[in-house]
Amino acid sequence: MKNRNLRSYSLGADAWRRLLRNRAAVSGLVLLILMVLACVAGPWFSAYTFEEMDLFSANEAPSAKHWFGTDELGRDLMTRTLVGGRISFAVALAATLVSLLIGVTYGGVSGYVGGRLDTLMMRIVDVLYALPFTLLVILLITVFERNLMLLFIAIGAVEWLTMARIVRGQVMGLRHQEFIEACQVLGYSQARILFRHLLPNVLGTVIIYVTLTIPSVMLLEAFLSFLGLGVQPPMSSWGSLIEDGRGAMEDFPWLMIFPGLALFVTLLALNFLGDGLRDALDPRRGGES
Amino acid sequence: MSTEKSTKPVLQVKNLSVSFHTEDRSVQAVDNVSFEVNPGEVLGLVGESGSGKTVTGMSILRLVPSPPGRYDGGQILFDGMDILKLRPEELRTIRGSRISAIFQEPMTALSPLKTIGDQLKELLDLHRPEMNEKAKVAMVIEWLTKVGIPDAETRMHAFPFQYSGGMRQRVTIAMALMLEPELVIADEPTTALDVTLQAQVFELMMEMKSDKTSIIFITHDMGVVWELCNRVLVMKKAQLVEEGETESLFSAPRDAYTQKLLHAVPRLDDVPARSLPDFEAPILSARNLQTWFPVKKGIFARTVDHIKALDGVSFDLHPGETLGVVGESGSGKSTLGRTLIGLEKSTGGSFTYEGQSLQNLKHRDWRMVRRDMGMIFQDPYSSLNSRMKILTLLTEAPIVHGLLNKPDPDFAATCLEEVGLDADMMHRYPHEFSGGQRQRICIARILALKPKLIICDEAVSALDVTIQAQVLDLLLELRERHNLAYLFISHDLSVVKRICDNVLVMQQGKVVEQGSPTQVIDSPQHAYTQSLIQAVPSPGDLQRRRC
Repeated sequence: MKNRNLRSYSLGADAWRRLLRNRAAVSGLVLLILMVLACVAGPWFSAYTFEEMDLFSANEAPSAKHWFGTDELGRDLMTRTLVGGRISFAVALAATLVSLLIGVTYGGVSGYVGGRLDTLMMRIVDVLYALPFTLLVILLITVFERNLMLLFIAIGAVEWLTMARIVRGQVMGLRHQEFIEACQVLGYSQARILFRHLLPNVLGTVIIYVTLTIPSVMLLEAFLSFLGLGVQPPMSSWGSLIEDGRGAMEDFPWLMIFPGLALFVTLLALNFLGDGLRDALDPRRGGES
Repeated sequence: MSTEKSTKPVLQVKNLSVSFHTEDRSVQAVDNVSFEVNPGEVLGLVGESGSGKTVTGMSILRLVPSPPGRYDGGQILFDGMDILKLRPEELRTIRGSRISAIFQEPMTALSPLKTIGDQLKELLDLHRPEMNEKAKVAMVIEWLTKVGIPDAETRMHAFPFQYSGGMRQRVTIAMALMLEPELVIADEPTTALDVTLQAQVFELMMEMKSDKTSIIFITHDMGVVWELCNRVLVMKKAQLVEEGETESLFSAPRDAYTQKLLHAVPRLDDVPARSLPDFEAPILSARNLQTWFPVKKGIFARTVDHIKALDGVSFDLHPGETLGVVGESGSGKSTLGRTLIGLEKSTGGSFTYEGQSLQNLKHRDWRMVRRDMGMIFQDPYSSLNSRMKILTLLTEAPIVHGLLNKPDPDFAATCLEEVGLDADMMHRYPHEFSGGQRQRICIARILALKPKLIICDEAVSALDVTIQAQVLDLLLELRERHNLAYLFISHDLSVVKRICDNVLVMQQGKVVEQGSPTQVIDSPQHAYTQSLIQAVPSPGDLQRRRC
């Protein structure tokens, strides 16, 4: 039985309590926090810097001195991996924010209002989709100076498109459901219906999609760096480290294994957290609150 | 009626127990249930939702999903075999061929991507491999014709979406009966259909079934049981509470629950709840109201035709009056309610609320009108936002309209108490409530705005009879207390007769008959009204027994 004298909690507080009871989600969250902390603070305590070359100890296997080994210029791979994590996390965060703020709102408005506005908004998305991404990036580089901000702009420009489409589809499916019509009949404003009633009900899909996007964004950053838009040597990121490591995979496998492992652990943690969040935000799952 | 008692039963269910287990709770769905089905008989299995009648029916085909379901014990004996112990390949030879099923939802019971003919033929491919192709096709055509699909030879190549709901249910009946099974399990096969269609489907089922086919008819409708069944089993809370021949059970029910169930059935010969009071000036009036939906074609979406969902409807609704709107699905009765509250745009005529025209009202002005007008929808499961607590749901509308400045628990408590719910329930989410409780919450949410008029669109149709009676009583009580006007849209004439002061009968967007419920239902003038009334099952009427 339920405690009848329970204090009233909002959905947010309820969701938080449900999340904390989900062991997988909590371990995902803890792991993720540890990863972020390590990437942000780890390099400060390292005996090496990410750009310090030591040609005498190039391509060394992992040892007590260099835990992750060294690359072909003798740089400490652990420091480079941690520093690279900063970029990768920043990119993931930017992409998530853009697709949540722009993508969800854009798709929600388009799907809910419908009619001509929907047609117009979706044609804009189509046009942006159709722009060759590589061309856009090269254009950005030629017009502007090389700048890390450009990386975020380029990723931001494309990352919200798919989210907008997904949310639009979901919203169109929900907008004729009786609970939405009931809201209209109760005299709620359109904005209230969209943001308080419709969008919370598409969160499950949104979260799944975000967890799916993050790895592809991290790899996209490597591609952009390769084109010259992202981080430039000697800076590192997980994507570029994996890309470099791939070339030397046969002779010095640790160059790929450790950055790859960092990415793998992060994604695993994200997936656990994402699943837990989806369940926690839906009162129908996971029994009584 | 002549079931041969001497022959041995087709099916014996002995001490069947089924339970469902999820992480945090277990539910006993069927508790030690035993019964037999005799050859050729129609056995009714009745009970409210949640009583375990569907799970019992599904168990016979071993269709209970497991997990979370679990067979705890008992036997289901069919032709000397225990169905619960069969291997999957043995089970497959029985399913569809010797025991078949008809489900509730005709819209989703057929695969959308295959033609009707292919779906029927597939059954023959699986269970009658010895037949040649020509014979199979001939048999499909024969059965489609038998169940009343016109021009079966051409129509067998059509897809389910090209069939109407009634036609689809005919196809599922053909599928269930084609292989002449010994047992058919019909789980609420007509609940989703209109009364007139329901009557046709019953006739068809009784006609099509061969003498050796037995049917287990699962339903919550006692009227249906009366018309079709030889014997009845009554289930309550997972247990069998009463069993008997239909006529004796109806005339002398032993168990208190059966009595309650029978008593709650609305009947056409019920007297209206009150005589017609004198009314003041109308609160809502419609004159020649039209709502046409354009049919668009081609890449430029030119309007080529209109669907006249509402085609010239006029009426007056007075404060405190209950106006019933009846008709088949597609008659425009729902469109009427939706147009009056602005969910659909009217295309002609006029309608006024307290003298103010509602034609071409702006969104902002609609919001003001909707403070006074509420609407209750059919499906209590989808009309509440599942992510909000009851407290938030109840206080949101008053906050929007400035009657309240914060989610006030005391306010929510008053709302809940008014509809007969416990004030403690405000901290729960909608999924923790039953259908009837949710419908009460919907009513409470509307009452929070102190409306003058409520549009009820099939508001009690999705509820069990006993719950239906309680919700109707609540509506009547609130009507007296707050002098509410109701526009009561329903396909159920017995319910309409009980609570309405005036009735509109609609057909194809037009009002064909209008008057007090005693006039319209006891002496219908229009042929359409007569056919509607004839289709209503009425328990106790010996002429209506089809078995």
